[in-house]
Amino acid sequence: MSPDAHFDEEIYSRLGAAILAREPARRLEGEEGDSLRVAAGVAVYRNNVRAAFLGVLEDAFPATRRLVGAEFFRFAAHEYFHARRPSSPLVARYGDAFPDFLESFEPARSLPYLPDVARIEIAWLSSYHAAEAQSLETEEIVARASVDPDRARFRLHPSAQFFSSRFPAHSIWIYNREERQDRLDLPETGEQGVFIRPDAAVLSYRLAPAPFAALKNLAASRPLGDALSAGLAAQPDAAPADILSELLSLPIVIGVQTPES
Amino acid sequence: MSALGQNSALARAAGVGLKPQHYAAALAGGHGLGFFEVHAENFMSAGGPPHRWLSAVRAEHYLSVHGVCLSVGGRDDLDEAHLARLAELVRRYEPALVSEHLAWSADGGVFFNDLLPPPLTQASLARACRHVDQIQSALGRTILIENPSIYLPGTRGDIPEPEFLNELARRTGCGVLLDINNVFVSAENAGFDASAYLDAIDPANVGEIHLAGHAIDNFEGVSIRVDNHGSAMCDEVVALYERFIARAGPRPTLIEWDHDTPAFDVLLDETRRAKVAMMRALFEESVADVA
Repeated sequence: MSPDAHFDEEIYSRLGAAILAREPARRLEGEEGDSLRVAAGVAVYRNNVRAAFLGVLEDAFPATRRLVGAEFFRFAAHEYFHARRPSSPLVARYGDAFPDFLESFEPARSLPYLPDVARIEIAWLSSYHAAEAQSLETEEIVARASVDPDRARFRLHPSAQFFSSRFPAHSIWIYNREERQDRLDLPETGEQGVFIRPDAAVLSYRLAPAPFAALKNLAASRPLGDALSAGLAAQPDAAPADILSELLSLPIVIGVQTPES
Repeated sequence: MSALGQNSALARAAGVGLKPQHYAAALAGGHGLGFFEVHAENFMSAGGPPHRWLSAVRAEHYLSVHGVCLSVGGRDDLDEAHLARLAELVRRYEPALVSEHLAWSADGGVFFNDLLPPPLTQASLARACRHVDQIQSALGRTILIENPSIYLPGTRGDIPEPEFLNELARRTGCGVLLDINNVFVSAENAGFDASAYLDAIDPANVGEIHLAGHAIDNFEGVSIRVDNHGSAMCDEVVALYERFIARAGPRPTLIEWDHDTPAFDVLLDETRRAKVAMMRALFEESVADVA
């Protein structure tokens, strides 16, 4: 091996492996110098890497962390680090697979709603960092769509992020996000809704099954008529006019397209 | 190299790493700071409040965009998607300064999210040059490259690090972001002379200086300096800064305080310490000139 290739092997492969290893190594093979100093140096790198990724998750999942406590969260983050090697320099998205990880994380089984709370935190973050856009006023949507309402398609705000859970995960999320201490009365049903950031702040809207299904269809570029039918299918006792009113009350539409337009 | 960071208004400026909790104070003005630095990776989203703040700050102040994830010192090819994100950010804000690190943070498909020191060999120098060339052509401008913090004893090849940085700058036209706290931390940990390191840096390449505090940790009886940007600068670092400025002249100087970040006023106190050291250095220089 040439001296350069030797150093490459030593520095990238061995230091990399020593950082990733579950247990700290007593010494780094091939490294010069006092073995205790080497072990101390490797320990700093190992700690830095783990602390940096833990910090990313702590920033992204404040409510999840409050639910399980700092200590358990640190443990889960550590297991997540070892279960899925981070691969992207887009560190802000490091936690994207964390809810799925929690889903199968045995020690968190007693909190079945936890993965959905974590998903809501990702949806909130995505909404927070989404592109800016101007939502249309209700009158403007009506004026543009009334040409052919059934076939009108809506372009939704880029910050629109849906959430749904068979648990009251949104209520649990807000309670913990706001670090509340008061008594929390949870509904026995699931919850669904949407985050929208029409201006500086992310707004969160809990929706009944009908408007939620209708909105998701609009997001998938289905025309309004189909979207309302999907809403009724999801919640047969809903009235189409009420679904429509609810949709129009949200600052979520940024464009309307009719076949003629 | 170009006069990156060496124009007269910016050269004497002190700045701080901009934290969300200080956005309002930064915009309120009256702080005397000449520039603000942000980590590129914190602004790679499409929009949102952080971009609104940064646009407002950019309208009033010089901006420095500091990338931390490109793995310039790595042996793998650069992540082109990530480079494109950096290029988009630079296009969006047209910052006065753009910098990255002579460090690796990715290897073999794993992203380490830390700034690890690369080998200092002819092979790694050639690779680093290729990476810097690639970044500079994607960005359409020159960048500054920062020296790493070292935690391991011993050498990492046959090229001394200052010479490696001088040569990287000579071959690519990039500048150097000289982190004097990193030099001090590394010197203490790896056992070299920090003053000799600074004296070996070609000052013409240096377009920005970083100053910060560090911690002294203890692992099983071994004391080690950790570059955690979590406290005020130590006096040794300020003295090394003064020594370098006396030789190089003024450079834009940034205070980094990323962990346990204190109130904005405490950061301003740190920039004042740096300013005083800069003025002392320049005064000594002018006295020496007269003599």
